[in-house]
Amino acid sequence: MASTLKKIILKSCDGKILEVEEAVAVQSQMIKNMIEDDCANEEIPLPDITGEILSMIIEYCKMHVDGENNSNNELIARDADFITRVDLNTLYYLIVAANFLNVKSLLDLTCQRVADIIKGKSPEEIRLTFNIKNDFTPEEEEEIRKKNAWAFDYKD
Amino acid sequence: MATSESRTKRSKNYKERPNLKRLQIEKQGPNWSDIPCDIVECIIRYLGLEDRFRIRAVCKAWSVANSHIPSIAAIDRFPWALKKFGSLYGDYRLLDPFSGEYLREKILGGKECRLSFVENLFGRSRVCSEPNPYASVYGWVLFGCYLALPPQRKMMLFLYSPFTSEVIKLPELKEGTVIWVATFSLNATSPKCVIFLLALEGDKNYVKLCSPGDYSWKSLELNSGIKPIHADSAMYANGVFYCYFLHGQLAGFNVELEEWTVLCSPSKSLPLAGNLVMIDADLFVFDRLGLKLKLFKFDFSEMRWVYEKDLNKHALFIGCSSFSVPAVGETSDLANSIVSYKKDFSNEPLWSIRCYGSRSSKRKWLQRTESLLHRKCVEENHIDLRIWEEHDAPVLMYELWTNQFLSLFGISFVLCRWTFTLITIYFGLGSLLSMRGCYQDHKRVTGDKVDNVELDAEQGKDAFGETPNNAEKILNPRPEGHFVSQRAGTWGYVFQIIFQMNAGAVLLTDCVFWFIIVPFLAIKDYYLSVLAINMHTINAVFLLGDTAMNCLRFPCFRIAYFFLWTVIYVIFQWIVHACVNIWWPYPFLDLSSSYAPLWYFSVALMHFPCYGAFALVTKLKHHVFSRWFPESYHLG
Repeated sequence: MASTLKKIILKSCDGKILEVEEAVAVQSQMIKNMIEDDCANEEIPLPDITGEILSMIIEYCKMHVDGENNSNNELIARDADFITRVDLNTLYYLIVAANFLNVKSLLDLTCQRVADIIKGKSPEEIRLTFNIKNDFTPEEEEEIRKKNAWAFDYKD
Repeated sequence: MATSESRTKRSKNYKERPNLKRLQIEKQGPNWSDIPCDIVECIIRYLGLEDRFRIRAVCKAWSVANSHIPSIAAIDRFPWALKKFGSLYGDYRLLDPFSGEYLREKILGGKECRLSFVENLFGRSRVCSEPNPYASVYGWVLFGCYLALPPQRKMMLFLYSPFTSEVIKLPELKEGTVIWVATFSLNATSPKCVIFLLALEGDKNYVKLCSPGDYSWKSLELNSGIKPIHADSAMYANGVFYCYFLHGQLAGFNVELEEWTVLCSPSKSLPLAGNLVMIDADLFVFDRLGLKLKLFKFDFSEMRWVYEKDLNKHALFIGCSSFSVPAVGETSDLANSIVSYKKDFSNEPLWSIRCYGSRSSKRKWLQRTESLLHRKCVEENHIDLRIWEEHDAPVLMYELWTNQFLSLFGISFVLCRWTFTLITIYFGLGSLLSMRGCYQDHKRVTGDKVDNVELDAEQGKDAFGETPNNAEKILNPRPEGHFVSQRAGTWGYVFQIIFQMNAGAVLLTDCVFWFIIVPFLAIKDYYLSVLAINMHTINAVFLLGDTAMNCLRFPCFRIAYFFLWTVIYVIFQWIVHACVNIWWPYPFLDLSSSYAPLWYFSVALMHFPCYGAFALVTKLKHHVFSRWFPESYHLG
């Protein structure tokens, strides 16, 4: 009982300190490993994660710990609600943080969200959406398009 | 007009675009092209085929990440199949087996979809056989096809990925090489990929190995413990190529040690031919030929096959390479089922799902309409259905086998096969009767000289089971030079009836085949096998030849026998379909079609011209022969 109430202290890159119950923190495989290795007794510095993102991740993990008893569908609905509230920039940091902390369910959720945004878009639209610079030479791009011409053949 | 319309449509589709533009101006967001490769791979996992290829053109970082992911990622969410299309060699298309939708049809428009990769690869005039698929894993298919390189005919092997249209040519094989089994390990783009053949070269059997990019095959002679000609299927698992030989013999070839180990000797109780498949790291064999679903697990501790009652909540997919997946969650309705492929008469694929284990008696054949549900299950749950690939060639083999087996048990579904059987019986009976005739004739001639007529006659009776009455009648000496119309025996009548039935039936099946099935269904890529053509032409030739020779009567009222024959066939079909839900051998027999009465009626009408045509032929024969050879020809 005592172990479940144990608090883990996380420190974001902008100096924000968050206390998290162990049951919530172990949703992150990375933190779980640290606890198992007995390195989590002091505060854990997270150099690439801002306080805002960190609290979102903790919110997500809490939701999953609390929702363990709920039905699967309810959890999916909550996930969907959570992810649609996130804008693209936040999504970027969330995905990177989820990858770093190794929260598998969150990584899946965010990747799914990105894939949903990508679906059905042309490369130009994807670039525009995600603020990506086209670093291909026109010849290179032409070659890629030629190679899989069928995928670039739009109906409009 | 059209362009402006589509433009508005597009902007409607991507509403977020203007918002994002504003966002970008306000604040330069993070650069998504900097995202770690493994995350990009993660995202790609959720994308469909088209999107996968499109994002290759977004930026270099994403493009690189994408091509690093093997095609398996593209297909790990849905099974796929290749379907023969058109008449060109190697003209295959990707197909979603559950819905029957072509995955690339909507993308490749017009002529482009008729591109045949094999003919493009080797030159149209050089390809002289349909590519035969040997194995398929990780989105790659191992094909072999014959090339005409005068004066030789060479087998070429190559790997093909229908997802990227990439082709990897493998080193040439010597002329006259016969491949017993062939398979390959790992992803074809992996440097560790090994292609494994069991082949006959000259008069020796070899194990032949190579990796993509090699210039020659590495050949290893086989030891005597294995008969490669009995090899039935092969698969790769954990560094070993397992080979299944007839009746359960199992041998493993260790790639690293290059060593054969015979794991299990054959036994009659095991399936004659089977597909090897891995289920949860266990090696199984699925009985390919048996009418009952049977699965055997290989017990490595006792080195023997053990009958398996349950699929343990897995779905098994049978193709030219088979695989299994755990069916859990919403896909649990696929649990304990075996998904395989079968062609109906018009070569439309029928995906069958049969339950294994406790509900094994219940068969469920998956029709297209039902399939959407399963497809949805498969797609929504992202279950790891790796590769599913199926072709004409192995299926054809399979059909040949099953037909042989089925006809052995007297359950043949197609009328032409019935007719074929009847023709065989007819000619067999004819030969027997004429043999008897010759024998007795010979006896009559010799009997005058030797006094053993009685003995011979007794033997003759025994041999043919004739009633003494009939035998005596035939034995009665006849005046030379006169033909007396004598009462034919029971067998004679049977013979005549079979002939009259045959005459109409052959014409009917041939007409149906050449005038209905070929022109109407052949357009829809109906694959004419040599066997089918032979069956539908040679029989007519034989029968006409026979008609010219024999002197059997052909009265018009005997059409009743012909009707009787087809009616028995149709009733047989109805009874079979009432008991078991199987495919209709002729599409127009399908009772569920709204045109069914019309079809039945027109086929019934076709009986008259068919029989009439034959009656005309016999009339013509009488006319011609009696005019040409009035001396020797007489009416029977």
